[in-house]
Amino acid sequence: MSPSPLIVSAAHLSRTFGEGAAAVRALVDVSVDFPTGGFTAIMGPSGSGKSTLMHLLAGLDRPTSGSVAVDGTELSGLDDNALTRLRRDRFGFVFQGFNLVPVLNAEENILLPLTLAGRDPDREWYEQLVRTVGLTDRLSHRPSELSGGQQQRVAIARALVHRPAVVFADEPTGNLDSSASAEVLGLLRRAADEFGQTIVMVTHDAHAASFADRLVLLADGRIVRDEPAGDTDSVLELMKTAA
Amino acid sequence: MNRIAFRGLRERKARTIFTLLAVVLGVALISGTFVLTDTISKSFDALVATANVDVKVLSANKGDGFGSAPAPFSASVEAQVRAVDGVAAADGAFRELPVTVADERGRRVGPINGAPTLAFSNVSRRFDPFEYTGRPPRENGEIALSATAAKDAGLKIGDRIRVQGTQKIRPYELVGTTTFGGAGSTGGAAFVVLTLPEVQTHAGEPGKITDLDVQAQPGVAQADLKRRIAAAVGPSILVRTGKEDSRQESKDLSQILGYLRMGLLVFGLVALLVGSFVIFNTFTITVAQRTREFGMLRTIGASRKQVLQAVVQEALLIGLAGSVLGLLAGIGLAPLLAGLLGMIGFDLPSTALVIAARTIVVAIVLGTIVTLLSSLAPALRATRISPMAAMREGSLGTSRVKRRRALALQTAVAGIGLVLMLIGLFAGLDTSTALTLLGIGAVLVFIGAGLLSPLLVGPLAALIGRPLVATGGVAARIARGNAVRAPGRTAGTAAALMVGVALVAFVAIFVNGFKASFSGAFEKTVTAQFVIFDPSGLTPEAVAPAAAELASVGTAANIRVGSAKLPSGADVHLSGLDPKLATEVVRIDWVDGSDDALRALGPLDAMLNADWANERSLRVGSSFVLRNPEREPVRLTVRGTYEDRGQIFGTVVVPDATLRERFGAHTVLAAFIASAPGAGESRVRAELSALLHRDFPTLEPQTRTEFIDSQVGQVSQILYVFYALLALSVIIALFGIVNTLALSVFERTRELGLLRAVGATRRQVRQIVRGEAIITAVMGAVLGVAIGVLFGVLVSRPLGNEGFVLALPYGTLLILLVLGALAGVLAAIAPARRASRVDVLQAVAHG
Repeated sequence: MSPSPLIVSAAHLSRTFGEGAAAVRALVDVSVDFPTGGFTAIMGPSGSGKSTLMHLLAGLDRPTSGSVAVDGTELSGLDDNALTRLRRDRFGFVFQGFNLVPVLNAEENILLPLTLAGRDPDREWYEQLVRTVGLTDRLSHRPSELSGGQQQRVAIARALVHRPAVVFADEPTGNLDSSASAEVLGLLRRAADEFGQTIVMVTHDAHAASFADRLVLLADGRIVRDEPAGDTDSVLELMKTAA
Repeated sequence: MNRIAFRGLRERKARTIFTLLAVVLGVALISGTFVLTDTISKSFDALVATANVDVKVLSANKGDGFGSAPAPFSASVEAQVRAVDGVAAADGAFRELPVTVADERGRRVGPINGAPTLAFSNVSRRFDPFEYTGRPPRENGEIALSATAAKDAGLKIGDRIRVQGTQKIRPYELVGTTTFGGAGSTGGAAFVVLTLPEVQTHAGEPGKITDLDVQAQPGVAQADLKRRIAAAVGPSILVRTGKEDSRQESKDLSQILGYLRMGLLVFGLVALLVGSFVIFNTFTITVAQRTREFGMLRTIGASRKQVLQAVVQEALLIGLAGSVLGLLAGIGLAPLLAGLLGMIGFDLPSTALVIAARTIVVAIVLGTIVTLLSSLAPALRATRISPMAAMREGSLGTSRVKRRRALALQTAVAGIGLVLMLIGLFAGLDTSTALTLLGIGAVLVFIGAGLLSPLLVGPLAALIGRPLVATGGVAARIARGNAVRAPGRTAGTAAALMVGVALVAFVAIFVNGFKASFSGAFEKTVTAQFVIFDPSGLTPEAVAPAAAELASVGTAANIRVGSAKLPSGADVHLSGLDPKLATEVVRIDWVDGSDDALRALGPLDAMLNADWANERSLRVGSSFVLRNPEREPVRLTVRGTYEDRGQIFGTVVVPDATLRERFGAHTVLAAFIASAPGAGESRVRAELSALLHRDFPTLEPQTRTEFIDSQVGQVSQILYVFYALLALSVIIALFGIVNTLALSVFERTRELGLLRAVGATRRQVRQIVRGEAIITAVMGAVLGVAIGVLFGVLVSRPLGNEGFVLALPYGTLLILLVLGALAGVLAAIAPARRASRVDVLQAVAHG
């Protein structure tokens, strides 16, 4: 079955936290589509709603109003178990920190989504992935024995091992130095180019955003810009306009 | 998930060990109890079977169990039985007469702690249950003594010892030492073997025996012979086949054993209860600490069930491992428990330990289930961790509605517990149902209190913190703040200690009340200046008459004890007072009667306990019938009723002579001595001591006060045994505190590093951790004392009618609080040191 051209589609999403006078409107009437195979960066200042948007897209949270569809499936109709299975089988996740289970080694961490699903890995794909992220000698190491950059590489491999429809990355370079960041972003770029992986990355780092094809800029819960991403400087310019 | 669970435990070794210990100790106590009682049971089984006795002939009113005088019957029965067709041999014997044994210097020989020394008359070899080194006595001046007692007293064959029963002491030569079933002592008791006439003399029952051993001729069945003998001897004598007799003995023993087992099991269950608090706590904390990890797992697609599995599997592993270790520890603990019992006089032969399949199964199942149940709530909470917890450091605030509902539920739990306890205490149910209800109710009260305790953390911490803050400055203030900040955690840790302290407090209150009631009642009732009393409870009846002849003694009177049965079969306790002398030495609380009425008491008159009389609608002038140990009816007329708060007089008071002659009672509770007018205390004491040393060397005169103190002191011994058993639970709770502190320190590495970075010294950091520990521990102690007092007050209500006085041992309770604080200090030592050694830079950079 070939994926639909629009892998994730959000319509009129709103999310409000709290009630009455203390209510916070994190997202207001946001509609955005993500075509298959694209590398999108969602950016915005603190409080712009970018993390909230990603949570809603990934089925981690439910919108106050509006809808999200993933590969044709409407998320609002799914119960917790179905959402869980969706995340397990169709999504990949990379977080800013604390990605890995401390007591499992790198190989076990990478295979975790498959282990949870009770499925066997595609050995060829797995080995290729491990080569691509450059961790062939580190497979038996625990997270505490890996550098920050290596941990994130493990996380990326995990996010890709089950060939998800979408990879969601939440500030993946936030805790890394510049060289490790470059490695990680490069890998994401390669995943998008070589494997046709759809990637949605939330970041506040202009340099990281420059690796993406498309830039969605949020401010005060709304989309203010949606255009192709340029280099770091042009991204910075764009951010200034939103501030 | 298995891997995550298993490796998680391996990694966090220290935490795992402490949690394991919580299970191990409780299971150890329980399995140790089973091993111990099974072993005792088996060793007693060996003793009970006597091979050659085909038929046993006994009195129909056998004395009640160990240590009380048997009811004898005429030795002429022996001739009757011998004449029965089918009897090969029949020997009459006088057995199990409680006596006191002393060496030549007057030092007591035999058990010191309440276990009796029993005298047996010698019988022909085929019926003799003892094995001898040396030989059994053949002449009246010879004696054989149990091997252990002989060894302990340094006696050899040929030495001289003396024996005292109900009459004056008599000398013997030691001709042999005995073992019984291969053991030199049994259950702490010592045995002497004398010739029949000697035992009869000591019993004050010439011409009587307590049982008859009969061997059948070959080919005659036990049951047939029993019938023939029964026909020959008549209904007032009990005839049993050898088999029936063994079975009855086993039954009696196993009943006593059953009580012992139940008692010990209670302590084991308490330890498990405390352990479950600790496990609950540990899992709650670690689940909270792993919020991000669980959140992450949920995000990448682990289902709620898989997260639950992760936590439950950890609990399962701990439960199984802890149970197995606990079982092994329990097997090692059994000998220790035996030693503890030895302290209150219950020695045991060391036979091979019996490890029944049931013990193994119970240990493993119980330990595992308790662990699983304790971890259930935290495990369920883990499943509710939102996937977004992986990304945010937000706290899971519970909504107001949920909190109110939780509060209602927690109060309900405690409330139900209280109600159950009240029902158990006041509904007049049979003892075992009442105790079960009390137990379950108490557990619910503890759980409810534990659940509600977070609410009390604020005010209690403020209160307890005040003295700390006054002395400790800012460190103490931070400590107090920390304790208040996480009320659930502080309360949870404190709750484990609360259970142990509450029980210790309750026991202390109960025993203190008991002591107060006893001494109060005794003070009021006994007016005699001196009391002569044998700690084994068998004062010779000859003491009082002998003392009465001393110049400085005004009145010397016995209070004799005996028992009889109502026609319905119920037992009645009797006291015998000398009508002319009693009022000089005791003061009776008359309800419908007077001292004059007592002095005018005729041989078949009686005074009754007022409550008992009311129950049976007996008044002054009514009469009633009692059956004496030989099953003869004795009709008594009521001449007065009295109130007996101190339970000194039993149910029915009859003249001393009547109790001795009509009811065959030779046991005296004590001899009470009133000084002659003008005789100084020291003179009376000197004369009494001289008399006793000469004729009753194992006895000492005691003043009233000394007597009360020594009685009270005996109760204290039991108290210490209880404390020892409860100590286990307290130790578990302490481990729980150490555990929580260690986890908490680890969790707050960043915060502690920050404190150090802005200028807190290592010492101040240690003070903070210590301060938190003290607040937590004292809180547990305060709650524990409060609940202990509550239980004490509750239990004292129905007992109040029996004369129980609620007397709070303020000193002990205060000591408990201080010990609580000390416990906190102790528990904090290691975690505080770890906290002070936090590497500042590493901590602040720790993301």
